[in-house]
Amino acid sequence: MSASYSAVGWNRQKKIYDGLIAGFCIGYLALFISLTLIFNEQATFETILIRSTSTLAVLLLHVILAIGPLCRLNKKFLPLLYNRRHLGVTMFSLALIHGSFSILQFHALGNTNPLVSLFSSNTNYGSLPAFPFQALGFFALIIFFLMAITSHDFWLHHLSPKVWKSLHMFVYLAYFLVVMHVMLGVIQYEKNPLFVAIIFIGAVTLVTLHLLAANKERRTDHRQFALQKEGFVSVCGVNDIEDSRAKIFCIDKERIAVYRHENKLFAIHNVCKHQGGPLGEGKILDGCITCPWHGYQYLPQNGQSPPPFTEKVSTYDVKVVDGKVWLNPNPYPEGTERPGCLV
Amino acid sequence: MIKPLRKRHLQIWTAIAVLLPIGIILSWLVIPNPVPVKILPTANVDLLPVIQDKKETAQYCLNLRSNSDKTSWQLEWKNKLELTVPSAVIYAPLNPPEGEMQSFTVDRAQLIGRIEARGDYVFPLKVDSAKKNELNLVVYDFIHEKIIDSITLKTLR
Repeated sequence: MSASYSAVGWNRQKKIYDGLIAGFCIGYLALFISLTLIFNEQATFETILIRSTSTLAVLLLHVILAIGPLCRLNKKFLPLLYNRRHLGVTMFSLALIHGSFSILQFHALGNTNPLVSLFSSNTNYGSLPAFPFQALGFFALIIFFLMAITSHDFWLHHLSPKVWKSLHMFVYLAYFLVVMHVMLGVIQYEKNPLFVAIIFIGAVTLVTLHLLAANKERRTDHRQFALQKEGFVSVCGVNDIEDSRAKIFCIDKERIAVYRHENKLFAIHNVCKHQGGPLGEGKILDGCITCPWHGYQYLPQNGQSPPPFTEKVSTYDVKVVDGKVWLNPNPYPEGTERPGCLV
Repeated sequence: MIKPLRKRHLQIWTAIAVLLPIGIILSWLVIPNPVPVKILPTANVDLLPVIQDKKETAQYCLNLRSNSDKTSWQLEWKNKLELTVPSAVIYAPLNPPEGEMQSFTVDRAQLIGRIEARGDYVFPLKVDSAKKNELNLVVYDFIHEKIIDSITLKTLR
């Protein structure tokens, strides 16, 4: 969270994370190239580059798509989410190298424009085995490109979170296109069951993770609260909430985070104004509720971001009776001061 | 994440859970007449002793080899220059019309093997020299689906 835009919001954690990404990518490419040179001496530089960058990009895409559900299933993965954008841009860069060299190698040596050749050399759109798989990869690359260039808070702010998120959800379409690009492309002539098994296991893993995470969220949304009195709902015991942490409750289809801070309870709307992150899964740092996704901060007593920031979320009344926490799900206007409730 | 977004995620992943396995399995099932993965470098193969015919162009050199009694055959391909087509396939058309290579289709051809931009390759052949005294070959660019070259080799010396 910063008051002005910078190309990359570097901090120590991001530098370590990027160092690990760079190390892994260089290690992977070095290993792939070495093994190819040992086992296939005839392979050309372009072929090795096309194959090494494509396999690495597909691997990173799987990791990127697994981070979201992993974080919803286990908070320990949240640091990965905080840094996911850099991984996404890295993956796009590798996919761009793969796409550029593929077009160069397969379409740039004739007298037709390479991009025209890409779409006109094979027009068997009605045939599955002869399907022009390169077009699938091209469209996936376009989606990754749009995501990469808008992967910055400047664009998030100017496009609005709703439009930005909708654009970035096209990554799922891109993933589908990538899998079919592989299946209808390289798998058609490298008939090796191992490749199919890897792609299939990757798909099953991602689908399982996403459906498990969705099921966990659904259980939170459908929890029933039996005890209700004077507009308040009994949600949990006082000791169920750790200090500087929160518990999330879904009442009347709204998620509310109840935080414990300096022996007081505060309730705010659970959705971060930045990208809709779950505020209740964060913690209190420097007296501020800190979103686990990208570090946006709010004061617990009024739901306002500390100056000079202007983001605000709704606040709620909370009280403690006989060791039980009671929550009123009617929201106050965003940024309304509430005194909190002594434990 | 807000509730509509959670719902959209669930809908998308439910759709992917159905469509993706179907796509993967269908793609696997429809693989046609696959191009062999194994490209045999000359160094790993015992070359048959008799060269029955040879062809040489600026880009490549071809030897049609057999053993002395013509029961085993090999096609030896040597790239002299890097091919401008990065990956090509050699087919032997089945019953090609007289002097008419244009009607070539992959469905009506026997797959011989795949060659890449550079290197030497050896492919085993099935040739019945008693019935046919010529072996027609087509070098095919499977990315652009077009014939790169047509070659005729003599099986009788």
